[in-house]
Amino acid sequence: MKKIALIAATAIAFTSCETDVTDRVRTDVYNSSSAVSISGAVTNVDTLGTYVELKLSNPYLDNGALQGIVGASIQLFDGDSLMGALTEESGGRYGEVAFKSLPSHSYRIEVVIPPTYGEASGVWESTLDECKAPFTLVFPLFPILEGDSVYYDFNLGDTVNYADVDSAYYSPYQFFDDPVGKGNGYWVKSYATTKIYAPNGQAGPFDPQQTEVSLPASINLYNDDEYIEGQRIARLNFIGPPYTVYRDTLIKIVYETRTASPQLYKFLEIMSGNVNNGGLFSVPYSPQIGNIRRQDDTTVFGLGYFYATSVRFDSITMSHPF
Amino acid sequence: MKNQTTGPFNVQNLLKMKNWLAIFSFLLSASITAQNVTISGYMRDSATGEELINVPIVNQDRQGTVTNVYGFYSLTIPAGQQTFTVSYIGFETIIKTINLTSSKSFNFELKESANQLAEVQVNAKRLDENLNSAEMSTTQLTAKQIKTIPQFLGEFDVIRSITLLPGVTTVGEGASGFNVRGGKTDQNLILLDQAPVYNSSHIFGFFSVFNGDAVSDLKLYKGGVPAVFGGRLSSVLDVHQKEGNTKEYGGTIGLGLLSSRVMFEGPLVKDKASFMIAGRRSYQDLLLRLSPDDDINTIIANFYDLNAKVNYKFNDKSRLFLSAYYGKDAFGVPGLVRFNWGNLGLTGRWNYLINDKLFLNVSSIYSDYDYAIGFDFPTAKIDNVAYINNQSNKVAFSWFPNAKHQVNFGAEATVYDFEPFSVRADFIDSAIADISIELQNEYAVEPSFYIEDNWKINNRLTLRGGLRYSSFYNIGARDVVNYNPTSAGTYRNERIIDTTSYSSGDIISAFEGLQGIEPRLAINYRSSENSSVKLSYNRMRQYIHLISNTTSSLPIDTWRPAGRYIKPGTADQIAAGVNRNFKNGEWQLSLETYYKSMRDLVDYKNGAQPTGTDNIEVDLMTGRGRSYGLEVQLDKKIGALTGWIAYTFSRSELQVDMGATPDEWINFGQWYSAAQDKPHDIAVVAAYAWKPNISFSGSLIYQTGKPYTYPESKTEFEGILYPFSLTRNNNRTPAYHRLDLSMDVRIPNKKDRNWEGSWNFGVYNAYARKNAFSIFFEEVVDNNGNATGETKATQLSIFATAIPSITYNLNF
Repeated sequence: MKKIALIAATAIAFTSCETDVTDRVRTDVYNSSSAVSISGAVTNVDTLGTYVELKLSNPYLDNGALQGIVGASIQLFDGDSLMGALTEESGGRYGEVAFKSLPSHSYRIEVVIPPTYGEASGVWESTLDECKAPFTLVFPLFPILEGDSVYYDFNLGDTVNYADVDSAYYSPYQFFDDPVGKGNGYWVKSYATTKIYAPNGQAGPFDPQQTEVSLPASINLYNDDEYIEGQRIARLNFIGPPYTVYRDTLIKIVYETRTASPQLYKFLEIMSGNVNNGGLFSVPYSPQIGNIRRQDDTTVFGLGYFYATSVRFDSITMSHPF
Repeated sequence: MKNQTTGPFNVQNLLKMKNWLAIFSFLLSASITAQNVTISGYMRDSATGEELINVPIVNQDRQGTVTNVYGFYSLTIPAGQQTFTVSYIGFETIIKTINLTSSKSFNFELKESANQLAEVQVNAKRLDENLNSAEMSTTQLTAKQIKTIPQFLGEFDVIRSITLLPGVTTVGEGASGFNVRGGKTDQNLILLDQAPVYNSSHIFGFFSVFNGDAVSDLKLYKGGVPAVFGGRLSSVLDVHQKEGNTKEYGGTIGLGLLSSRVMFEGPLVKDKASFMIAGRRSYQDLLLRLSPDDDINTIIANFYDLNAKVNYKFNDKSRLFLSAYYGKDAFGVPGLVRFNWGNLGLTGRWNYLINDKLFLNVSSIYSDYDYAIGFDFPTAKIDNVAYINNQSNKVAFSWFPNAKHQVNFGAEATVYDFEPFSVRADFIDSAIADISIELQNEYAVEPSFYIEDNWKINNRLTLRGGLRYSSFYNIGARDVVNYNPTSAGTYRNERIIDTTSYSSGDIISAFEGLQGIEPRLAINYRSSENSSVKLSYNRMRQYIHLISNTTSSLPIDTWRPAGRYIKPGTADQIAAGVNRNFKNGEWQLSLETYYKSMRDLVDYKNGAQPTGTDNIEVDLMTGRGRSYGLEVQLDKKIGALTGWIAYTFSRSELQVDMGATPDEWINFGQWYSAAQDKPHDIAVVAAYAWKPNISFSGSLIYQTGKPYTYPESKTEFEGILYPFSLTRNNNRTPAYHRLDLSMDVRIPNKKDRNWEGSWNFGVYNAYARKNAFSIFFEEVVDNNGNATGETKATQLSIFATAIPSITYNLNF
């Protein structure tokens, strides 16, 4: 959209420009101190369980690494029932693989930050976040040629190719069954693509040649808004680039999808807008308030979000159609 | 679940109106005497035969009136020898003595002033009319006055002209509409020959939809709004098209670098019927085709508009007007996206003089605004469409019982049809089913009544008191969702519990009763020969809202009506002012202060992207607003050098605390700056008549930067570095300032030709100020797309250089 905006401006006057004002903004605007940032999740993944990252934020234009908070204690609650304490790992990360989420349960944490952290110290808590049931696939993921897809993410100047002798563009699709009820959100947290060389159409198995993981800044969300009511099946493509599949290559893609409560969905939606901001038609930067606050004064908010989620991994291997 | 309501014409409302009528009748009868006679008629331009609006006429005893919006006047005064003075900007003053032995009709024909350059004046009908009129917070501009303000890319731009007035601002280049006294752009009622204009901009706000050649005059009400107007909270911009010359054919042609225009007018039947037709077309896309860059030379970017008006005089008492406006914008990148949007306005009016004191106008109006966004992919065509249209019928009376009173009263009913969004995807591959999603239309009816008296109590004190009553009915057919009652004022999709179906015509929500009463009051006290004190109060109601949450107000923002979950907005404004003239009115000083309190304003939730949803309320919150300010304007009205200096201090703030918890409030329930809050605004406008055929003009403006949300800090969530702020509009962009210059050279008419040419040379943004449209922040990534950990701030400027223009104008 930003590109469209810039082209629009060019079309109108040929005169728009972008100016780096980092130094001016840094000088004129910022005088903020570090704030406590608490992020993490309780998951249903056996090898992951529950984890929390405790950090101190930086002023936005500072480029230094975020400082982890060590020596804190963190307790996990299922509703009002204490599940136990998390173990400190390193660099401000805490976790416990035994603590796993269950659908329809709501979880929260209490965090005690030692006095050495000044204003960040004290008792912080998250509000309850509900673990939503995951969707189920009606059919396995299947590929659709780029030309058949309603989803386009190519850049100006790209040539959109259809399947030809040597290559094809693919997007993976799904038919999924959304759990009953409103407020089911999904976050494709990451996807990994592995290219497998399969010469001359041989069946394999073959060793993977290259694996790429999506950038963390990609925030891919969808939910059961008014077009997807309850027990309704909808065709929806996983968000991701169309893939070039060559005749002698297989591509295996693994998606990690996490359920999101309406509150987490909103938090991520705002984050997505803020991360990708700046254009003529963009939604303006929006304040982003998570579910972290001081226990003794709930009008003092921390940064970040602690959420409960059901995680599922789905994969597909795509090959050239001819 | 259905609301039980009594409808718009219930007995209680009629009884309330009857009581008010009785009060007005009593006040009027107290001042009527027996030996009076009435002189009535029209004020017309002697050259074109067009009626002139708001022209004052006074006798030797300072008894007088002004013409109404149809150029009609009626003055009831004692019989005998009367000397009338008629004085109007740009025309020679008429002093006429008439021996009135009985009531009679008399039309005045005003001759255009020969010394036009010396008449380059703005903002006054007559040099001391500003001291006599109860009107305040009001600016009237004629087409001739607009043409003295520096042109923008060769266009006489109505909207840009009014943004140079105190109390009127824009968010900046690239933003549609304008803001009046801290109000949002949708709080302005913009009328073109009575037809509402829902989007006053072409090309994302770079041009206005008003063709300067087709406009006769305009009037902007920032406060003290007359009772005849309603439906918006902040202002009324009432624009009239030319009626057409009833005496001879003529026209103008303007040839510019980016657009050209033509206007033609003349009599259909001499002194009985006339027409005016005008058109404009921009051709940026034709120029873009010259670019060797395929990304540029295939872009579609143009607009066009057409204005037309005809009128027919059946006799001295009866006259019919038909006027139309049609405009379209097109912008697109082939194979990627295309935008189309446009306005249509149709007005039919019939004037009838019932008697020499009572004037009737009946109007029927249709207005439409629609937009479409399309995507043309190789395998699919996707179209999104939305519109708002309304059909209104009005009846308006002007009653001139005596020299002290002019009473206006009438009624209006408007029917709305909102199509908020529909999308259709047609796939070329027949194996894939086409997709069609259409949000439900919304329908509404807005009836209103008004009565108002302009009462000249004595030679010093003038009062205009009025009352408007409006109501609003959101009606079916429509399915409306119901939310869990614990929603605490905010609505979310996951809180929907069921749906109620309403049949066609069923009332879904009704807004009526006492809340629909809108008092209007304006008082002028002429404290001395050269000064006056003014006071005004008005309540305004707004039943439709423009829903937007983008950096720039867009043509694709959608209008939605008040209904089950969106209340109508209400504004109370009080204003006080002082006017003082110096040097017999050559210099005029105006000082006004105002306070406006608003409630039930709609603002979007943090991060909302309110498009494509039936239940728009899930993206909205309701809050309060307040704006206040001080406006100072010093005008130089006559002489070779004319213009004004205007300074405005104003604040516009919002408070939203409707959510169940503080994180659902905006800025924790504290007052925060609205997007249009610009505390300091200075405008200097000057026009200099150097020689009889050469004039210069310039304008310099300075405005505080607009509120903007800057990230306060940076933190990490699941490996994502993200900007973070707790509050909205926590900072401002750099200040906005700009200098525009213009030179107009008329080619001397040496051969007694019946046409005259002129060149206009202009520079917009003369010193190439890089004003900020937005500032955005981004993580710097390396060539592989990986974050480097560095963050930078970037300012986007729309016009970052001086933009010259040259236009040839031909008048014939």
